[in-house]
Amino acid sequence: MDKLQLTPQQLTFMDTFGYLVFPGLLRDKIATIIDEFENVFAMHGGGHDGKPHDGTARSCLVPFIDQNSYLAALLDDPRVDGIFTSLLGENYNYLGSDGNFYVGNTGWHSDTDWSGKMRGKPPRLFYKMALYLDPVDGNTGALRVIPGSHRYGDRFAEDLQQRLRNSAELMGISGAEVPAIALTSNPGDVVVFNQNTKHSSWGGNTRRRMFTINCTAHYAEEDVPYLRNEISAFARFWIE
Amino acid sequence: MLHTANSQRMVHLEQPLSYQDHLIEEVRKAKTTMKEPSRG
Repeated sequence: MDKLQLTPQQLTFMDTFGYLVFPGLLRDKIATIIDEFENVFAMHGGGHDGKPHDGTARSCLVPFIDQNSYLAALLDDPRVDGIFTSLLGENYNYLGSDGNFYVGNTGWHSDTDWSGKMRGKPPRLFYKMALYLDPVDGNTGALRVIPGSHRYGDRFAEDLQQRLRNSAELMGISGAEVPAIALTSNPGDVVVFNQNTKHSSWGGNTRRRMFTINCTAHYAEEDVPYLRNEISAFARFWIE
Repeated sequence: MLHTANSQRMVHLEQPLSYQDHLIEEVRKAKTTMKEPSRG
């Protein structure tokens, strides 16, 4: 299989809107991916902190694909590797993954520290690849994104940063009512987004399986302190 | 991840591996304040 290369149109779409969806991209592997996802959680008691997932709160394992040779090899897959290479260059860095059983809603947020302390100003580019292992739509836990919200420093993006968490008071709408695109997903689909992009999810069952792969470009020497910040941030997951 | 990594995969792992010497201390500090691993 040839290495996937994003088209100029796809790259411009990502630059403009902050996300891309690849329907069915990993359909040929998804059955084994799901089996191995379950195996990793089984190795950890079935849920969070060595305990079974009880459906009351999100279970999260970090790092995730690192713990399973099949899932780790997704980094070698010419489609996965090709997407990250297209976005970040041949020598991009893999910087962690998380495996999840999601429960309930996740409010609007970016995965980037907007203050600049963690990743600088403007924040360094990170892309998240998300694989949803159950069918989800806009009301059952699919990722909702606000196109263009990744554009740090842009007035629209800055207004969202200031207002989204208080949408009821400031705009008279709940989080679920914020205008957004719902990225309906089926197993085998691949979602990729700029981590600045404002995203959320609403509704769904109490055991929604999803895992991510996170990458950024190779760090220049002067930016290594930001790399050390990223690594420090893993500590909160590793106290098991 | 490392055990099965070929040279191509290592390109994407080497720089982060080179700068994780402080992680053990960060984990020690986290253990003093957290009752369970973060949920996200």
